[in-house]
Amino acid sequence: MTGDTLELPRILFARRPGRVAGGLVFRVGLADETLATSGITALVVALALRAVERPGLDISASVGPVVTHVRVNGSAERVRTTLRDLTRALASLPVQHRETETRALDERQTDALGVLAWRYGFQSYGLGPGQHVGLHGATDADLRSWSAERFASSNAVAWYAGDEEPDLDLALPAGALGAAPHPLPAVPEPVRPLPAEAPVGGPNVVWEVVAPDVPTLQVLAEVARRALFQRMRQDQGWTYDVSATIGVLDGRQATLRVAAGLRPETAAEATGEFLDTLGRLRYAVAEDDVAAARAHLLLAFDEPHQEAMWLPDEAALVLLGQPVPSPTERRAAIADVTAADVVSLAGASWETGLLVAPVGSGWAGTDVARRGTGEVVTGRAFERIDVDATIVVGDQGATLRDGRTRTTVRFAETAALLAHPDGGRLLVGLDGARIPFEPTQHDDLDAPTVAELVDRHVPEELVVPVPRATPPQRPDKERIKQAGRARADREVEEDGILRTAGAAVVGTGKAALELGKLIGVLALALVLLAAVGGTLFSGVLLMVWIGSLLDGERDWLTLAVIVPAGLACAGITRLTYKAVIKMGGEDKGKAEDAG
Amino acid sequence: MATTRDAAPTANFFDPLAHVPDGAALRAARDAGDPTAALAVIRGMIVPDDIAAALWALADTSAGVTDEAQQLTAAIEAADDGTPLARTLRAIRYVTVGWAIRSHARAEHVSAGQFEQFHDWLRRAERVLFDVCSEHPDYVPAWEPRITTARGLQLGHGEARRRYDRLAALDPQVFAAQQVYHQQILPKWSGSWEEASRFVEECAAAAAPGSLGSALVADHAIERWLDGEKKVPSAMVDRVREAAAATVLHPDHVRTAATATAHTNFALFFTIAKAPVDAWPHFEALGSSPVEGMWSYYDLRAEVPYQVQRDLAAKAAAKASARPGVPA
Repeated sequence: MTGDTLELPRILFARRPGRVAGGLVFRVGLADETLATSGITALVVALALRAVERPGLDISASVGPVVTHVRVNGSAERVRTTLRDLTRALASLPVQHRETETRALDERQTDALGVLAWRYGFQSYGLGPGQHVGLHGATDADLRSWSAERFASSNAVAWYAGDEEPDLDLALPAGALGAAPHPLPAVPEPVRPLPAEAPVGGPNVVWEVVAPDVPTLQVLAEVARRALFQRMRQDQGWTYDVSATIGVLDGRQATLRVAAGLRPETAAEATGEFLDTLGRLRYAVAEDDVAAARAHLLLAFDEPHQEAMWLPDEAALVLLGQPVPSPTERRAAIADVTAADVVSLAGASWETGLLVAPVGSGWAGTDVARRGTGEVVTGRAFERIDVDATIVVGDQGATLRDGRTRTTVRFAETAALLAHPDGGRLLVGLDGARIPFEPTQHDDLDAPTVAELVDRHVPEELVVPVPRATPPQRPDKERIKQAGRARADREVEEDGILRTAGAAVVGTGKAALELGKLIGVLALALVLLAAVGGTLFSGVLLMVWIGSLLDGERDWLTLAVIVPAGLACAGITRLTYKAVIKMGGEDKGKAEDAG
Repeated sequence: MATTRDAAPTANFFDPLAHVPDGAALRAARDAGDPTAALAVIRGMIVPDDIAAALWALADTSAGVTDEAQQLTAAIEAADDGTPLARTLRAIRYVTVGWAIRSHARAEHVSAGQFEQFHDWLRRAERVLFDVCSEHPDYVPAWEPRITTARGLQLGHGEARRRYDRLAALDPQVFAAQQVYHQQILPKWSGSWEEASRFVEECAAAAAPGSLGSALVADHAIERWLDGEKKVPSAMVDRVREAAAATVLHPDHVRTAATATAHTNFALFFTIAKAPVDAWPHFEALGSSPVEGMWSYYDLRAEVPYQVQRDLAAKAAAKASARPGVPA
């Protein structure tokens, strides 16, 4: 039995004997953040949990795309006091623990792959768990205002399942009386044509689609899991674990992520079998397989106290403005799913697929997704000295040419600018493209120039100060030479030198320098020739003198001139030779750097 | 009486359609730039090796990026009526266009730009074939080019093998598929001689008497010779002689389009092994309609050495048969 009380926030109650459970659900999540504020919801929850978390008390918290959920199990008294203290902490956030909790969040390893970021970019539903770079910029005031705005009573629903209706003492930040939950961010169009491959790496093969969040999706997930288990594990032994997980987006749409753990030796054939098996579901699914999947899902409805079981889900649906089906309606919706429904949904959702493949590319004919593929910008060019790369910065944005690849971020489409205290910058585009500005990796780009060219184009709220112990070190000579060689090789291969206007200017300067050096080398070569001539001439004179000595002449004065002159010429020869070799060698090195 | 299996006269020296059933009709459709008519002819075929030969021959006409090539690609796309056969032809067309861009050079001589375009065409092909194999998993002709796309896209030997195995589970005697997979596991495609050799023996061991399984021995021996093994070991010559006797020269052998390929490769092998007497029956079987097989590896203008070697083999065979006591 479900009932409301007149208190704020809204409280859902279901009677259930035995174990007591309760929770607070908030209409706030990762999709409400920006990259520059990312992590702020998780940090607010972490700070509030400090007020209640005790060893032995079963508390869990999760931050989803649009819903944040804290649950607690225990005695009626513990659940009641926990929820009470939690709301108090949210109303008066213990921000003094900000640094500790930020560190702890940094330490937390998530298994998030970041596939959503490849689908939607670094914005709204593309911001996944584990993305909390924004915490570096969050102030105490930011945290308090986020908590007051998003953890307000109007934006929350509490639920309680226990023996008796509780007298909950909840004191959330006051929301306007009768105010509706915060509106949902719309699910944007994908930032790239799909299906495609998301190059996120890792040892697993993953196929993720977006589909309407309907009961058929649950059956499809179960059918897919069973088919993969049969083909990949039972028949071939190519995987140990296959999974099919549904993730909430905005309540109307959901992600279905199918994955299998692979080992390197058989990753290729396992990936092929994985995709062929899933691809087949678009055309045919056996009625028996659907029946087995349905039966598996319907097991949940054999549990007693159905109202209590669905209560947390109901709380989320209320906040999302979704109709709340009764347990009987939920059961019927799954029992009605047919094989044709599953095939149809598998086919329709295929076109939204993102693939993560541990080996190869071009699976199922997919292209590998790339970031920053927009039109390149014009402006000043700066060559990296550690790799064959050039950055061009203009008023519109920046383009990084790294080898043959060009990545562009427009200032108007900036997700965040990460600013290091040493002057290094990382410009991150909404589509996830990154352009690094590292003064230590350029000869011609210093921190003030970066600030002038980049910082002033990015709105202040998107700049995140990110500390780091040391900037990257200037590369050693060998590395610089390697980069120069790579640059030269590429330019030769590209058959003609592709240069931006800015790079051409830099190139002209270098050419003038080269010319000066060339003249120097030529002059030295002349001196060398003269010195060699002088040495040889002195030698000849010495022989003549020795001849005249044998004839009886003893002109010691001539000898006193010839020998030092000869030795001097030999010394000059040696010095100029060394100088020519050195300059020529450096010239060669420079020429390679310049490409 | 002439059958559809008899060679159809042609203007080109090597004609891949010469030994395909209804080759003349196919050639007429091809020359008229009418893939729909060609597909109608292929629809009458049952043997996967015939279908494969016909599809590749049609798709491999004027490959590359010329106007003519683009017209053919467009015509093949227009002829796609959604049947697995028409879709497979479209995919094979994409493969041949891509491969023409890549050229037949070894990987280190192909520029990055060429590779991008090559992979682009292969992905288009793979997209089509993936869908065909998803919808019609038992359709053998679509699995055969999927072995080639796996190779070109470098999806890994394991995947190429899985695709071959899927095909072999449907029909274990598709010689074209065996040849394609054998290419995949050669050292030039980062396989190894051991692996390739194992596969050759595997095919030979599984072959029914008179079927082409053992003929792969000749392909393998030619590849070894190309790799620099200039003197063919006598044991190898014996092994290939055995293979010829067990396949194309076997009384139970049933002719398919792949028979001609096997003959021409046997002829090439015995030529490089300096055994013209053994080469002759294969030259003779091809008659006036030679097929290229691996002769283009022997010489880029393969028709000249083919004719020269054929004449030498004919003379040697005549001489041998004239001498009493020496088997021809």
